[in-house]
Amino acid sequence: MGRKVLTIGPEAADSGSKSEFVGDISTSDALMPEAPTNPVRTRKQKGVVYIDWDRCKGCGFCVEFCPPKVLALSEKYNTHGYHPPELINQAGCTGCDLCGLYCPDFAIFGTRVPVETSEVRSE
Amino acid sequence: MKANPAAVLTGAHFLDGDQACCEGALAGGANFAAGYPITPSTEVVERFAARVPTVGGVFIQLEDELAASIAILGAAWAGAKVFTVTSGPGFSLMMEHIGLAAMTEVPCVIVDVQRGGPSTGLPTLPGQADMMQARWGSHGDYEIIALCPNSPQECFDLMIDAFNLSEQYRVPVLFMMDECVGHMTEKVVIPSADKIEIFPRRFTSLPPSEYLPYKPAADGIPEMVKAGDGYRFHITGLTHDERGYPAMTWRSQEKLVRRLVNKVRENVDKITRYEERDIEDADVVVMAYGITSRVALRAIQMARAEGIRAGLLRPIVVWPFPEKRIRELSEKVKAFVVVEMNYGQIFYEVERCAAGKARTELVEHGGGTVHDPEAVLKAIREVAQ
Amino acid sequence: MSTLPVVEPAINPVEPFLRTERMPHIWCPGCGIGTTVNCFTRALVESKLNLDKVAIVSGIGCTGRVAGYMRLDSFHTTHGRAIPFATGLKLANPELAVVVYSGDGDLIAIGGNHFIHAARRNVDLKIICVNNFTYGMTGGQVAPTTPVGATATTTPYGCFERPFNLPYLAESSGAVYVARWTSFHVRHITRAMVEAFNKKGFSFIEIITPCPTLYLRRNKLGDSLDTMRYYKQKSVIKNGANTKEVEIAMGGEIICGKFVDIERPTLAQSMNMQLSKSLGSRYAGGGR
Repeated sequence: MGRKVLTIGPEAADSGSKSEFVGDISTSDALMPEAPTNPVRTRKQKGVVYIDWDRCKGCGFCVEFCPPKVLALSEKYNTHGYHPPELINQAGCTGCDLCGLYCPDFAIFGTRVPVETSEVRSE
Repeated sequence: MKANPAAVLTGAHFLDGDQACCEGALAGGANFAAGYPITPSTEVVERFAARVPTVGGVFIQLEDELAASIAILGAAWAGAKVFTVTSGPGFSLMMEHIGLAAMTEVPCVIVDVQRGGPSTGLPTLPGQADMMQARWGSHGDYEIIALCPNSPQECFDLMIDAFNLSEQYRVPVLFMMDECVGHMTEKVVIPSADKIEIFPRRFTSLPPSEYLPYKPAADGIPEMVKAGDGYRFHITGLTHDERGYPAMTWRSQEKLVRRLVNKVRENVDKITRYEERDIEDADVVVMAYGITSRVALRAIQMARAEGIRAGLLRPIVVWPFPEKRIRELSEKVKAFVVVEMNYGQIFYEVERCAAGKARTELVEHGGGTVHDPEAVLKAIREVAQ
Repeated sequence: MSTLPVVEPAINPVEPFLRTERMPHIWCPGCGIGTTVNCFTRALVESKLNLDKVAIVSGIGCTGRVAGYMRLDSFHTTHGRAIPFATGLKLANPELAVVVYSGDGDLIAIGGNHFIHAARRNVDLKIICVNNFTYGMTGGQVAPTTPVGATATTTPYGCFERPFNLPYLAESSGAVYVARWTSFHVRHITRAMVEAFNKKGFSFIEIITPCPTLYLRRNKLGDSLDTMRYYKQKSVIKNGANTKEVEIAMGGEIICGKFVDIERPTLAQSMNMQLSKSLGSRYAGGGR
């Protein structure tokens, strides 16, 4: 059983539009989702958030309590009629995962990006 | 498997029913009990508290019967063989958790040493007025098994059967004693451990990835697990599916609850047990259980001496009720005389199953003392005409 | 060859603990329970407990549904009776780390008697009490924690009973670890849970959370976000405070912190000590 996950990665702000990478996450027996197919650009940012677009119920905790204030509720709706968040200043994301801690719907979490990596994952 | 020798007090003893009940529990493999004091049952757990620390196991007196009746279920899910003991008012308090045990299919034994009721009633005197409550006391549809000993020896023997039945069918088994049997002292012979058969808990051999807590095996009964073995299972009192997850629809209700009641209903012939005396040529069948059956025996002897062909049918397993035998007998006998220490409980089952083919007479008694055999004899004489 | 940093595929830290096939959960938008679950899962990871030996027991209510969503040995029991169930579980298998996760109504009203006795006995249980000042599941009735004056369906003209001060109740009953946080204090909750998991004995963590649909709405307290802001603003951290003085009044200060952290023998320890003392080598132990 798959779920759609909207991943806002570092490439989002670069292209000027939302990165619509949608991946599938299987049930918890197979924990690893598919790798992003578009390569990631170099930048100094420290973190990235993953948002489960349809789990979100628009409570606003993540936006409110994000310390660098890099989240905002989207204009768009999800299938349940809520406005999920989006990463509006992805360079500022520190990957602290406070959003993940607050989210009552398990719809968002943040991770730190490894700063130095020499390989590009190929698919 | 055989009983644990450390738990079996082999030998001939002079015990009362409560004490024999405790020994039966130990011999049956009980290693966890929680209880709350209530006359006339307290001695069962008092003895267990004294015995189990040297046998191996835990006893704890909790703050009320509500706690006791669910603590045993928690212990069962940790793999323990469990029981608790109470009387009327405590039995009423335990009803919710009898329902939980039935719904979640937890093997457990609940002893009710019946006393005069209702309410506080007659704490130190016998009664048999909880028999219908044993069957219907909790809300909803469910089936239990209820055993009724009539002597301290049976208090020992039948407790072992009670544990075995609860493991085999994964239902709560109610042990319906009465204060008279509980407090009478008689010879109790306890065999050696290798002569006592124990039905082991039906633990699964499936790995966690394949195991479903409520998927029935071929006989309609699911295999069990215990906490701490990596199964990561979920148990709920809500109507649930085979995964154990809440599934609150009429379809899952039908699927689950029907299976729960069928566990007993479809196995009545294997579970049923009764004793018969002088039945073959009987015109009048006296039906009695517990201490009352011993009074009834006396009345039957007196009746036979007068030339009345009376016999005894004593259900040992009262629930599920021995319907088939009553129906059979109702074809041949003139009448049933039901003797019970209440104002009519099992009597209605007999009347229902006799279906008018034989007369049914009730010799009732409010409890507080046993029947006078004369009263039973009088009823036998009346229906024999 | 490019030197592009790679975003490793990642999993929400809560995900391995969820019965994903049962998502989405039933809790309302803005309900605080989910937040506490995040803290719980982080704490389980941090405390390095063997997850196969963790059992979670819930009662009935919105918070009572937590057990059903957790991929642990989990038990959804009867209303108010999670604690004695957990006591039986723990006594029969002392290796288990038993967590009781339930709401204020379930644990303190109908479960109140069991709560105080388990604290008195110092049963080795971790009690996560999610306090939203109401009975959520059944539609917002008054609870023993509802502040005076608050509206509930069964006190439509305002609650007129003095509520329990839960940390005080827990401490006076004998709990060895008592803490209170709000669902704003996510890192503190996580740390408190880790401390409780590492502690032997009756550990009580009260987490004040919003119930937006019922308690907040009926009392015109805004939405969940407003309440989280109120928690941030009006909570005062006073570790070691006198629990007698941490009562909560509607709209008032919420005193948070770790109030009690003491040592005394657990029920099992006392039981074993006493029986060994009385029986010597004849004591056969707990039967496992």
